[in-house]
Amino acid sequence: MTVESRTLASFPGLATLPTDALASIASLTSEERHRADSLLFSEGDAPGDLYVIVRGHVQLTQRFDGRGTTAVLTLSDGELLGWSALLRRPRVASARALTETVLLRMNASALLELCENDPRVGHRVMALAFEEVADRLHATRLQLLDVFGSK
Amino acid sequence: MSARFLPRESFATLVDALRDGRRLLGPRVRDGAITFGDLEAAEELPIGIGDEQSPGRYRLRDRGDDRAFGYAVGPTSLKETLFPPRETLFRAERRADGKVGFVAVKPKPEATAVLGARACELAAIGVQDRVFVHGVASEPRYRARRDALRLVVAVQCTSPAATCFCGDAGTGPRVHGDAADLIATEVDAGLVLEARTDEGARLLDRLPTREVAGDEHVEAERDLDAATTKTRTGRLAFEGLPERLFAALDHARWDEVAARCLACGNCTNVCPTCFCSHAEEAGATAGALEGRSERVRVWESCFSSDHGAMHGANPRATTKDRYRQWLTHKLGSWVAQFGTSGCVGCGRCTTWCPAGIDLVEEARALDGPVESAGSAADGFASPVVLPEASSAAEPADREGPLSCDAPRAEDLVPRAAEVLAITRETSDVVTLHVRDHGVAAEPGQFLQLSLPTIGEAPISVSGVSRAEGFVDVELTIRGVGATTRALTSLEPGAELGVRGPYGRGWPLAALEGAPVVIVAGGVGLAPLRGAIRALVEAPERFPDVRLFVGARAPEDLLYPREMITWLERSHVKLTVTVDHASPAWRGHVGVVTRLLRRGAIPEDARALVCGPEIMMRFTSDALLAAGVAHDRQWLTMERHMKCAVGFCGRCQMGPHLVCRDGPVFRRDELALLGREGF
Repeated sequence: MTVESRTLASFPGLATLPTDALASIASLTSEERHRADSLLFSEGDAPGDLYVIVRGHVQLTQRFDGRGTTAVLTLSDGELLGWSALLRRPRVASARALTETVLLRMNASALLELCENDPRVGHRVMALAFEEVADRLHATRLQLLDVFGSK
Repeated sequence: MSARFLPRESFATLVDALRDGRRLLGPRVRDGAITFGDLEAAEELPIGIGDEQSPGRYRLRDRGDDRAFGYAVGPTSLKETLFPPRETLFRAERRADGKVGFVAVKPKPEATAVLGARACELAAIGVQDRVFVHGVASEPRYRARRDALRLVVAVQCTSPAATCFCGDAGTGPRVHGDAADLIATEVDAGLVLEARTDEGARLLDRLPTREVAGDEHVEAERDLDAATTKTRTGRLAFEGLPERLFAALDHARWDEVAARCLACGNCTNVCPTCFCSHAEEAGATAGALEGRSERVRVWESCFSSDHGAMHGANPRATTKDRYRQWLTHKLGSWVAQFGTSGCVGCGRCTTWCPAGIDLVEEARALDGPVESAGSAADGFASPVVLPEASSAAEPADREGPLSCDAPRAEDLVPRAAEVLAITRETSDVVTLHVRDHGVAAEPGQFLQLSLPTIGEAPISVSGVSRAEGFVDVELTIRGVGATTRALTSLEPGAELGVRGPYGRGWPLAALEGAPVVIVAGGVGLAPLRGAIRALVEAPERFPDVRLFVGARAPEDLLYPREMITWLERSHVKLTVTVDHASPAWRGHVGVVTRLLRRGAIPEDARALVCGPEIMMRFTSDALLAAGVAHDRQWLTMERHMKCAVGFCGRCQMGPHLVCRDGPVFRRDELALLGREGF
């Protein structure tokens, strides 16, 4: 299903992009619907696409040697999923839809090419991803503090 | 009242008149110092003896005259008399019916007179009165001793030491008002006496006095003026000092003084106003065998490692933190807490400091342009705003929230209560269901739970159901320290002691009509549960309630069955997140603050937050970013609540006594939240 510019503009990080830039991103974005429990991608998968969650909950899990598979983060409405796509790196975590989930899927190669050719768009997309990764880093530090654990 | 003169050779008549049916405390030489103690005869006065004082140094000297009050002040004050270094608060013992009984121990002090009190000492009693008599409660043991202090003869100081600064503090050397019954000024030939109360006038009538000669009057005034000039050093300006000190919390001087400070606590011991105390179980082992125990109150210093420690963690971990606590409290936050400075300018802390640290010198160094030790990057570059002087400083006795037949809050004596049932919540958390005969707690208030021979711990009330003649209380406890671990191991039928409820709870009335956001982390859900139940049950008053609950792992979540019943209510939304989980967990994973950034927070929301301090700080930031201003956020603070009524000084957090002013605070009252060392 194709995506219109105004759908993209409803996400805070993209709202201020000029109309033509939004249209360019929209042209490489499609909407997907996933049933609960569908696997979206797996840890170690080859570099894939970038997603924005329109609606639903997505669980990220990682395998840790000797500790089995652990749920590390839950993502939901409006959040970015699969930022490693922008680095063309293999997936660092597995993603599974916990509920029925609607995603916007952005073709990563085309998006990177657009970013390269139009620095306004490139800056905006990278800033959005950077903010998301910074938030997760901060939250991960709090998780590491184990604030609810016994001292 | 006109002044009279008592010649030196008649001092014995003054001592005898004061001792008439009373114990007399006065100055005498003991252990190489002039100290207050029982005085039986005028010859015991330190006749012809003076003192030399400088930072870290005290020496007696021969004055070469026959003055009896020719010294400044010694290491002891009247604090030891009114607030003894060690005293029993209550006994716990088996009654004839086999149950535990708690019996208050109260002193029966004999009528006491004092000779030779200085203006600074009388001012210090005034300062301690604000703590023990005019706070949220009135300490009966202190009050009994205070009431027994029937007759006070002050001798105005004309021999101030080099360490004295009562003139700067505005407390001396002249005695103002009716702080003493009789005011004396010593001159060569004797004492110029002036009655300030009827009692003082009656005493004066009994003495063989004569009129004051003109030159005696001149001598007295001249010496007092000289002492005033000497003690008005101009080195320390008390006016505005709290604000200036709290603007200098990052000053490099704190590190310098900490390098010299031994953290020995001498300053707090000799200080006539320091009031911090500890309460411990006396003779615990022997008592346990004999079925009884005593709780004993002992002086405690903010320099000790245990002073602010809560289950092993101390918010004031270093000597720097503790020195800063002492100085900012004494000269600063005391004003917010009690409406007066904690310093009377007696200089004892400086004289008796083994490292010779001069309080005035330190305060002066801090009281200038701030040389910051750290960068502004920690976000604390702006000065800490202190609250207005505490309303508790108004000398009006406030009653605790207890019924008449129960022990009163200020008695510090528990009432017996019984454990009805126990719910095991997680591996280290249980909920005790306790039948209590006190007053029902409001959501957010806490009780002090006592186990004879073991100790006492403040525990938030997590649920209450009232009945005729008793209250069933739920107390969710995590076993962390010795007392809480013992509490979590109780069996149904066990007896325990209960005091309270204490403190300021959640401001439910301020939440009405607005969307309410509640953020709970870990066992922080327990102090919130009472508020949540009230909100869940009253959708007409609280139409939009959003709960965000964080825990370490799914198995650490409290009250899961009750949470499901909250979800059944259409005005309640509940989101649960955990830090770690297996993939089988269908709820959220991630820190609780992440839940608050998804447009989940209406801008007009009111927020209640409880959890570990760091979690509350980040939650508060996230709420602010979502548009919830600090004056619409309430947090509950955890500090070392020991007495729960503002007597022991243990739960201080800058300007606040958490037991009295909290534990629930509006966020904009917590200027020090997240600042290390408070």
